[in-house]
Amino acid sequence: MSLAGLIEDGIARQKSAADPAHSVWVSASAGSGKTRVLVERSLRLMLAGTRPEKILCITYTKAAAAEMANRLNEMLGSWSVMAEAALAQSLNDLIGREPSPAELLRARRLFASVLDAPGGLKIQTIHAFCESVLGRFPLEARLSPNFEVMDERTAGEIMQTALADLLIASRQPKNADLSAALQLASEKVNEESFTDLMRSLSQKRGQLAALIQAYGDPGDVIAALAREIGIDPDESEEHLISQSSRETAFAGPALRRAVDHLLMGSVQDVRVAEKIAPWLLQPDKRLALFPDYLTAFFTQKGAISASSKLATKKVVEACPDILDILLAEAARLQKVQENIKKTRVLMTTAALIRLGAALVDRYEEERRGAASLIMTT
Amino acid sequence: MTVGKIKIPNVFNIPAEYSFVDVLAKTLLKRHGASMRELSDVTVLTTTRRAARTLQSAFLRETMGQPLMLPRMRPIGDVEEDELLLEGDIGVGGGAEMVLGLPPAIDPLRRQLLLARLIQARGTSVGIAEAAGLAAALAHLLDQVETEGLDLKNLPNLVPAEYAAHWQITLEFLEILSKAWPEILAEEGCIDAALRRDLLLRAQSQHWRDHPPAAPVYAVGSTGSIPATAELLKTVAGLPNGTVILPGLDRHLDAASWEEVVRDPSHAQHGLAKLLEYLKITREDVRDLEDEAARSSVPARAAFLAEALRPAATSDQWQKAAPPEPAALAGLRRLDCPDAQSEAQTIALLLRETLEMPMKTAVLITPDRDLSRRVSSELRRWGVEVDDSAGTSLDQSPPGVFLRLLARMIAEEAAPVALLSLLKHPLAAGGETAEAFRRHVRALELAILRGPSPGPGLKGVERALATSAASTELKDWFRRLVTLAEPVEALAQAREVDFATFLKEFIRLAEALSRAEGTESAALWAGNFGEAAAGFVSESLRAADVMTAFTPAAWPELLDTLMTGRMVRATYGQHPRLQIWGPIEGRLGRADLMILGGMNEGSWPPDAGSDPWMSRPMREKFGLPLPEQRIGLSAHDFQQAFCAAEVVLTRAGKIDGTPTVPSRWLLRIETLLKKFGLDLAEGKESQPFAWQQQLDLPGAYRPVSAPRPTPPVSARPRRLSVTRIEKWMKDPYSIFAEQILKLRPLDDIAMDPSAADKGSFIHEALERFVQTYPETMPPDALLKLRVVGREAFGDALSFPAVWAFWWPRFERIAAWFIEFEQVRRKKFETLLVEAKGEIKIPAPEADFVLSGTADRIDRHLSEGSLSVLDYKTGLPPSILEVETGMAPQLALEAAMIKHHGFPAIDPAPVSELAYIRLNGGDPPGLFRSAGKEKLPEQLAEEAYDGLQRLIAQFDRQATPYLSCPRPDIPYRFNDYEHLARAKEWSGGEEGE
Repeated sequence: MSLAGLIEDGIARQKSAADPAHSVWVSASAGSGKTRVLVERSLRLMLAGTRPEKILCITYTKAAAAEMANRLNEMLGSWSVMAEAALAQSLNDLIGREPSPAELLRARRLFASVLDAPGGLKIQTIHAFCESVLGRFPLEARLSPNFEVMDERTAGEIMQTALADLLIASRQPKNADLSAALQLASEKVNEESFTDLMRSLSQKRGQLAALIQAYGDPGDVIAALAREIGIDPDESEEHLISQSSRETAFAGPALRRAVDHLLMGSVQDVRVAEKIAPWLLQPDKRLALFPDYLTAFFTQKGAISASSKLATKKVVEACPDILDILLAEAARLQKVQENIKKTRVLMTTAALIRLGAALVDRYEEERRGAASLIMTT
Repeated sequence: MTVGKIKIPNVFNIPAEYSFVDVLAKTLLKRHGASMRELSDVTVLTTTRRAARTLQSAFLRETMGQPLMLPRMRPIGDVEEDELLLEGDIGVGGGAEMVLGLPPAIDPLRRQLLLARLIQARGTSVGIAEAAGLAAALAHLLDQVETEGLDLKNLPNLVPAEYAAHWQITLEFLEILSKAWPEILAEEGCIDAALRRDLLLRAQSQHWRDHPPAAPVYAVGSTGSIPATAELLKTVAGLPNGTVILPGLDRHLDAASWEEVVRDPSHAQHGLAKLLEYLKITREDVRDLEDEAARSSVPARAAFLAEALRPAATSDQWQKAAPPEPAALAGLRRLDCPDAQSEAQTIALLLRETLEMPMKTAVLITPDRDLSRRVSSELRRWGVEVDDSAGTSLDQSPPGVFLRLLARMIAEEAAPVALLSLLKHPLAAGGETAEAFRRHVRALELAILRGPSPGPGLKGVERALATSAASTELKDWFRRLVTLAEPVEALAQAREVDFATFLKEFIRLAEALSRAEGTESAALWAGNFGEAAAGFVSESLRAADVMTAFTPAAWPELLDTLMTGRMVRATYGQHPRLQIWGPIEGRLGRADLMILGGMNEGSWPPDAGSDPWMSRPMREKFGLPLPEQRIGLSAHDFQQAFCAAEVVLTRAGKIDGTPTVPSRWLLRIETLLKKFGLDLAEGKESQPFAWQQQLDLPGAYRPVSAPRPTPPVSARPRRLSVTRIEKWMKDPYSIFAEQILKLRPLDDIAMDPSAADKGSFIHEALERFVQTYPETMPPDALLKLRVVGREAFGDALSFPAVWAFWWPRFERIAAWFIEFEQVRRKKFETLLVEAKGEIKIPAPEADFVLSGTADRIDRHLSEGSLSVLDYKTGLPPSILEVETGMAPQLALEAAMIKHHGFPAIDPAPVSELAYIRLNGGDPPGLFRSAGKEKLPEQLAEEAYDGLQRLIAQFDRQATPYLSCPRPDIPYRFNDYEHLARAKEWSGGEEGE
């Protein structure tokens, strides 16, 4: 398409987007005329007789809201004073037909009507709009009518207090859950990251509250989560390992036979055997040796090692079912590991949900207390 | 006797192009000034007290300052007033008995607290402060309802059925007003001030109708926007000797448009049009009062503005508008400034320029109190003090702030920031001179308020002070403060106290704190603001019985809520020729130059705000004035001010970085002007802008360069510790600042214990443990180490972050350390922990002393060689840094051993230099030894030689102490970067 064609096409699309008869979704790059489309839609609505105060335009920034109001005023201002023919042309450009005498008259008066619209023409940021709704219905929103929106600094301070309260609360014997959760969190992250973590959690407090409300309390959420991933909520990593280390849990005799063969194999085979043997031979140390034991079967990245790494050709020749034995054990261990991972995920998630819920409670409490602090009459 | 049938009531108008008060004063003098006696018999009903004062000064101007028996002036109130006037009667015959018969008006503050109590009694868990906020909104509604003479019983029928359930919530809440409140009032034996005003005004009307006074009565400047004042105006207009004088009635709008004005509450003339309708007269029935000596502009100006502000419904008529005559626009300027600050500076310059012209007066009118504050502070550049006669809210006034800070300090249990904010307030003197008091406060700050907070309460601070190095004098000084505050602190501990008792003690403390040496009275109550604060306190005391069970913790918020919105005004202006007014003051007054500042939507007109109780249609149905009525009033203010002789309209294009929308009236004016190819805006080349640009322009631009201090060699340090050497190498400027200038960074106020503290706790714990069990480990080693750790952490364990994060980490470190020790002790024995030592290094100027404390020196059991160890709780230097000499600490310690620096150790070969990294993470500890590429002995030797060269280099006078001379080798713990202004000269290459 030629440049002129492109421009023409763009204008045509703008025109159709500006038709208030259709609901449209406009996505376009900066400077391509999105505000213009909005302004034209509003103009056409008002030209068709919609009262200015019945229109709500929501923008994302205050700057965009002011910009739009100014453009609208400018356009309407020029309509109110331009010569008859020029006005007719301008309206024709907008609506794509000759304006009626009533439309011409309305266009003349729109400038002042918009300025005087009761409550003003509402071109607002989403925040300002929400604020106005809350200000209109403070009792329903359980707010003081002269509430003021908290600034980020105050919110940060309140967060800090809530966090300190949370830490203090976790010390009380009745809050053993919290204390355990905190213990877990403090192992994983340091103080600064913990604060960051809690802050990002508190930014999702609406979702968190909805989650908890949907299930009952944090314990219920965790139980549901455990069901979802198929893990007993009281399961622990140690328990999983010691359970899987019981003699009945694996094919002991076969493994021992495999080790004997490996020990007679190459250097590589011996190395594998040396990882398996200690675990196999010392049942009381299996918990501690478990990580080492795993390395016999898995690569550093956690995948099952290639058969050639498990046993060399020579050993396989000597003991034809050795790969089956080793791979079966590897598959078993993979499941154990999977469960361990699930347990870890569950534990950390549970800890964060407990901490998050407690934090949000405290935050809300502090915020309520501070509400009047940031109120002005 | 009834009033005779007067066809045309006595209603006059002073057109906007004249100064209202001046024409009025001239007229009154002309009519009644023949004898002193006659004038003083005249009664003038003004809208507000401030209007009365404006009129008084107009009389003074007329008589050139000669004293005069002025007419009796009585304010009758106006909507939008923050104070309901009329405590007594209008005072013109017959009112007295009426006043005596009426119950007194209830104190506003008492009413607010009573309503708050009712809100709390509804069972929802609202704090007292929040309840007081709601109570203020309720009281506002009550005032409006009573001012309009409405009945709350009509509320339930306001909404159509589909919204009824929703409306029910509000309705139930408003039962506080309709049901509970009348009972309370009866108990109190009071009525609402708004109702009382209404009754008084109506009684006065009735009385005058029954007994028309012989002496002249004037009702001036009112638009009768309150029903009762409208009735009074009607009465006055009907009196044989009564006269109503309207402000700036329109003379230019066509008849059809005038019809529209009555229906258009946002129109500037709506109030007047409604009043004429009520008086049953037309514009033509109103006669103009004029006086050429008080003229400020031509009628064409008013005509042009009337055209621009015409009702929207007839705005198509602009098509037919004729261009304004040049005289209409003469003296009008519009200045568009980029932001609020430049607007304030431009206005200040215009005001300052006025002072260059003899006798000329100027006034800034703005509804934007932020702008007026900026302008008054800008004017102080030239020592010009101008009051903002729109006033300051009590909570923002100095005594208000002082009381709020005191409340906060008590509620926050003397937390360092709260305590210092209070004690550093200019009103704080504590019986000393302000200087002496401030000196003590600073000493207190340095002694204990920097760094981690002391315990709670002034007692906690006192305990911390007792163990500090502070002087006895300071301790005694602080004890006096503690004693003063003791009663309030004790009360504040309780969950609930009697409010009166609490308030009395609170005020006693506030007075004692603000009393300056040699004075009897507290500085707190001095001056305008002080009087207002005293009034507030006594009103609070009178209302105190309302709250028997008071939660002291809520005091700071409650105090804020109660103080906010109590406007305090200066009684007399400070400057004879310059003033700052709010729109109410600007309604009747006039100056040669009128600057209308903040011409943006949101200020001119102000935001209507949202009504928490009713929607717009509901208000209309109920009979309450629409929010647009306030816009109309504001438009009328604008109309009056716009017709002054010289008018400057200013606005800021951006406020707080956000683009603004120009005032609707400005847009109307400019749009109409555009039709004729005209506009008011002055370009950037206009003089005020040019001045404003130069106001803060620096004389010359002088970039700073990197500092190169070369203090005399005799002043340079001859002794440094091993840990300073790395700093000396990487950032000599730090050594200069720390060792020569003796500057140390201050801790933050109320800082949490820092990472450095954590390090020292852990060091101390390990040191004590190894010292206690040098040879054999105890069987319960871990337990023992934990006990030692608990002692080392000490009080810091009371900080949540410390025990929640550091302590668990320490426990993990402890477990790791015990295991480490068990292995280590099989091969090594520990010779020294925290071993202090020093050596002399020969240098050109004089011997240089290298001192140092080695965390730990071990000896290999079989080989006899030594091992130098250092615990690092942060990130230790890399092996590479150690081996290249960039982190010479361990190597220098080895060198000290070699040079007999540690008296307890015989020199022996050093075979190991190692860091023990202890961060409590995963893994909790890590042993890392240097000396892979080079032997420790060699490293020690190189470090020693390197240091010797460094000393020699700085023993030369010419060697400067540079700040981070090698940007590629930054120093991690640089406290002096800011002092060196590094950001100013090092920028450029790296950028931000």
